[in-house]
Amino acid sequence: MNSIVKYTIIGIATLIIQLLICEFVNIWPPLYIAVFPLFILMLPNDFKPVLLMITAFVAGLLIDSLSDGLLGLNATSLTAIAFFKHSFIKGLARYESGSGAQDVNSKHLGFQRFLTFLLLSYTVFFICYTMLDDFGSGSIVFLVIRLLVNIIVNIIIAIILEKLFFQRLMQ
Amino acid sequence: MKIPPLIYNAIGRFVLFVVLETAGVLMILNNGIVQRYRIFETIRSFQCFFWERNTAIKDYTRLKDINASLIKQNAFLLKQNVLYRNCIQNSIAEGSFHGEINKIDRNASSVTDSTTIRLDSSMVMYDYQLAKVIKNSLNTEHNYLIIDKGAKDGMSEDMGVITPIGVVGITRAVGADYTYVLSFLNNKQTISAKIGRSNIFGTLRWDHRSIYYAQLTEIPQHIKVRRGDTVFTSGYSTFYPANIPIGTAVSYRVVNGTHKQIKVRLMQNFKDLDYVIVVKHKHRHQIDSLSKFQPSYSKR
Repeated sequence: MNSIVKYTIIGIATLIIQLLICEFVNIWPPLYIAVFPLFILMLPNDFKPVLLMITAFVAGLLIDSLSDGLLGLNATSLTAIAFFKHSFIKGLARYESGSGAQDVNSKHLGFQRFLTFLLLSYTVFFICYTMLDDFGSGSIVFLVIRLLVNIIVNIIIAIILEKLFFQRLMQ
Repeated sequence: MKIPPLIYNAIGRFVLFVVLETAGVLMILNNGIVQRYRIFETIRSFQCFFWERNTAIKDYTRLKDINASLIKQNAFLLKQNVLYRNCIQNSIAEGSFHGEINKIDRNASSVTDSTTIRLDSSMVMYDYQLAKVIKNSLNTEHNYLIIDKGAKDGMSEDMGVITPIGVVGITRAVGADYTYVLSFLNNKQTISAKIGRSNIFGTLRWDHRSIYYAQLTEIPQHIKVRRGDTVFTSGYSTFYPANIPIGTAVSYRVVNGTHKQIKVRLMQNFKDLDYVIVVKHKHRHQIDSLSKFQPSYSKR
């Protein structure tokens, strides 16, 4: 199967899952379970950054408009991780040109590096997300707690999803 | 100079990132009530910070204007004060003053009391006009001032020029836009003045030696004078309203064994003259023409 079609299908499926989570999973109001960022993060490293940012922005707008979220919130946060993704990867691992090893997963990067990559990316995502969502209306302590809870919970979910589905699907 | 493709791409990516983020934030601001409120609150607080600083600087540079405005207010209050005083004196003279004056209208054209007093505009004898001193000479025997009001502003000859704390002079020559004022610091100038609140009046003239002192002469010997007594305008002329403070008594001496000559320290420092008030007596011509009247007696 053509890789573009494959990624499109996986992307749409992830988008639907994200929308379903937004609609039906309400554990704690400040907690936002974000699975779509994992798709953006796990797209191969040779995916052009400009295209990645546009994809992230459009997908974010779709999530915002199709869920009952604030229009622009996911778009801004996803664009941020798309922008920083290549820098994080560059800092954590070195791909040799022509090796074909452009996949971003725990198998290629190593678990520790992958975990660090997730930690950095989700931190950027949730800093954008919580800051824009709160916009100074809550206390800083609450903002920090919310940020930490979201990062930890979402990294755990991301590791599980990566091991179970994304590692195989995105290869 | 050719930009390396790596830097070119990095700049391109960054520009796109900024554009997309800005678009996202604008969408949030358009759709989120809390976000919109918070961002505008933040912007407003920044604006207020700068407005406050700006106003502080403006206020500092506008101190002269503020001062002028205060003098204007003072002139208005002086006018009201005269109005009240005339009103009360008139009522006392008529025996109709029973209580306090309750109301005075804004343009000071009439004063009404709900019970007894009713005065029309003819009771208001003086009009006051603010003027700026353009030139002020202090070093000659015949000092003068030039003020920035002229015939266009209703100036005419023989109008009194005062400040809230003293007498400045009399208008002598009027141009279209400026007026020449004969300063009190001039050997040709005399003022009818009284000492304390007594109605004993004398002639006040500059002492020709210092811009801070004047001499009040022709005060009867029996009048007690104490150091610090205030000298006021008597009101016996059409130039100045009564009871404008001029100075305070410093010392006195008896001249020719007939009257006292009092050394008066002037309240108004002539070096600090920026703004003055020009006084116009509304019935001056009427009073002047009556003063010139010579009664003729027919022989029978």
